Amino acid sequence: MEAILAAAANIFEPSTLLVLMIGTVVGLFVGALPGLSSTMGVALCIPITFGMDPANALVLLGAIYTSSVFGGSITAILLRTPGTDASIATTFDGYPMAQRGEGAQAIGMALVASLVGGVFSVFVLLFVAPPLSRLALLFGPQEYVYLTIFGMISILGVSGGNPTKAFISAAFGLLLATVGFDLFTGYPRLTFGQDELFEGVPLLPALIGIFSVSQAISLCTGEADIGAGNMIKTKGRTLPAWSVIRRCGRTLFKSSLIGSAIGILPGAGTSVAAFISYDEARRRSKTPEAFGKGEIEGVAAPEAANNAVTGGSLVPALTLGIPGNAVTAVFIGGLTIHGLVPGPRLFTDHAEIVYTLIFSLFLANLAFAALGLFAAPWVARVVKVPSAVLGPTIIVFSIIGSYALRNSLFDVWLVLGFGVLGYFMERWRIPGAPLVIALVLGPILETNLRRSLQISGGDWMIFFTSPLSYAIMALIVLTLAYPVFARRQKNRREANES
Amino acid sequence: MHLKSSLAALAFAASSLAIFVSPSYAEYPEKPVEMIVPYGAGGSTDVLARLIAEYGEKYLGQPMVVVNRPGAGGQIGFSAIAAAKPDGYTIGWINSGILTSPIVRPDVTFNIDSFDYIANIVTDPGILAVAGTADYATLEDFLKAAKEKKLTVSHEGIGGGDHLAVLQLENEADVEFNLVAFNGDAEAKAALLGGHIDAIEGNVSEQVELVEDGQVKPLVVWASKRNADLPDTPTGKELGYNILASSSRGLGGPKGMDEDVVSKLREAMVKVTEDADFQADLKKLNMPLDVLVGDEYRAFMQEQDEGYKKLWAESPWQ
Repeated sequence: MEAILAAAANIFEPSTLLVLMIGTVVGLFVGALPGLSSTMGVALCIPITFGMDPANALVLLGAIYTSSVFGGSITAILLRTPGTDASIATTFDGYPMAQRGEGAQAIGMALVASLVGGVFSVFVLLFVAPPLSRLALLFGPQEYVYLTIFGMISILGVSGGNPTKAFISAAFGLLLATVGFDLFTGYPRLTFGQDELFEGVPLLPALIGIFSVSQAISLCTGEADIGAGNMIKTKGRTLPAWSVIRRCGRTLFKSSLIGSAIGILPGAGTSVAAFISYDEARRRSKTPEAFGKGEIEGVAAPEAANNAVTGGSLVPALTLGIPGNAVTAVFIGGLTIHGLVPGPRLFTDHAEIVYTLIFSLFLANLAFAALGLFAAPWVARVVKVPSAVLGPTIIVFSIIGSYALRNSLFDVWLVLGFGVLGYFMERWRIPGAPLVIALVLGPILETNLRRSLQISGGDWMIFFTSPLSYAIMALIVLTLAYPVFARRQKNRREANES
Repeated sequence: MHLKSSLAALAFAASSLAIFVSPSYAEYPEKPVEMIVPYGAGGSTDVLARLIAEYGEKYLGQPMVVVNRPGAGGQIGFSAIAAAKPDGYTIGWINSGILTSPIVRPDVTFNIDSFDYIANIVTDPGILAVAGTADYATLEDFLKAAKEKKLTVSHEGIGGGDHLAVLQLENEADVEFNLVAFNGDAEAKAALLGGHIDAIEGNVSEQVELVEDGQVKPLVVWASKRNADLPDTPTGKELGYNILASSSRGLGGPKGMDEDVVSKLREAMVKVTEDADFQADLKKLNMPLDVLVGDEYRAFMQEQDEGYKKLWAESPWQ
């Protein structure tokens, strides 16, 4: 308790608040620019923290981490350019909203959802961190297999009403996911001698190509005039009405829970959480057909989930020293630099600093919400920019972003290639989202499947041994069976009425 | 007045001429030195490079600029270093990847002889460890159990330093493990603590904290002398296994740099590594300083290279 009070005093030091604001602004930019990831933002700021006192250093890193996740959503909504894979799912409904001139509202909902998810996960971190991290260790490779399959169900939700085409798209994504060095045999697969493909098809160029460059090409050819030229009005207020928030309340809560839970698992990843929550929200919705066409709940779900991952992923990082993702791995590095060794004793030996970090995450959530609220109506006007200007601008930024990632010209060709692919897929009404989801989840599924089989010595029974596996399996079956079940009940109800 | 100002102008012209002419006589380095990092920004090699860059400017007299050239497990960056103009303005970070890649892929454009060795900076020895709750207290117990029942041991990808260390142990101790590949030490540690695998092969710095917590038990360190952080853990040599494994990071340049240039770079790196502030920062990063300069560094790489070539001849890993 004493530590909590001391931490509260720390956080309201003027210097700490200044650091918090700087970190938040830096994080927003890092998240919004496609060439920069949260990981790089945090990593590049670590040397700056050498001279700071530990509390301020952690506040800076924490603020960058949380706000960068939100920053990626702004461009995902307005330009269909997810800054990181965490905001892929946000484009599904955010971009259609922006096209209708409701970009500010979509950002407003993203903001509320991110705030809810972020704060929820901070509470998880604050109260139940140590016991939860023990639980997370129960997840072996075989459980990750089931979890990833669970995430892949979301492909059905973004099929655009044509499961066959979605299946083709996803299958192609899975094929692309097999490119690169094979950890288990030591051979490069399907790289065609290209060293640049040794580590697989880089995700961000694929992502930006399929989603934003394809759209930019449509803009240039005049096929997809955003909101019919400059006619559309960016209307209304940014913050969603209370009634809307209430309608989404269930989704917000559930997505926060999913995000926090998946964040705790090392090796699952932010995008898995976002996909599962999106699918969950769509499935439970009274109007699932509105999803993918600009349903505000479809923005709320992945946004709450991806920000909830932030606090969750710090649970195993702080309590066990095992990072839940790349960002927290760098984060641990930042901690040890300041003599804070992650582990069970961190909460007892350095309680004051840990609580300062937790409070700062809380405040960082408020800070990016305030900044976002201020900025949303302005940045949402981007849809008023004539297509002839916006299209080429998006392409230029996509090229710069993909080059910056690895200083490699190969990635520039890749982003353009995926752009053309995405453009034609759109013309032939093959949805691009399944491809991207498969590309993100494919490697996680494959490595864990093969790892399970390596552990069992090739015995497939390993997938039918633990109660945890059965639990996730049951969830998958329920999720798949639910629509059939719901339809039957609806039919029965209608039959009774008539 | 007129005369004075034209004199001044003349003097200025002369001095600028002197600046203009001087390069051919100038001493290295007269412009910033590029340092290629074969991995992405934010990785451990990158963090170390940026730290060296910060201190290096003071002792080299010119800024050191970090350039990330990630890809192909470091091969793209290694190739770029080996192929750079040997004028001392492009150097870069190398590791055991420059030894193992040419063995496995004869088409790569570099090998141990493609580089001039400046200095090794950091060596993180390999370690074999089990969960704190495991029944085995020593490597002998572990190997004995492994002969009765196949035990699972993690590594971080076929052909990596830790994978090769386990292969060498299999050969020398005449056991066979069930080898399982992981994407990094974090996932492997989670699997070890969760009881999904029996042992982990990794690097000392990644395990020290868990060892201090009692959650992980170290069995052996693959180094020629005992590790300062784990003074109670025997080395492989003490237990009769001639196995050396480590992840080391050092600076090299393309073969054929001027002797003067190389010795200036070596001198600067030695001074950086003697800087007390640098040492303190490195300790904070949990990176064990291990300075090997010039020929010493080359010999260190040579010894590993021979070990890998022998292993490849006996039991090729792919």
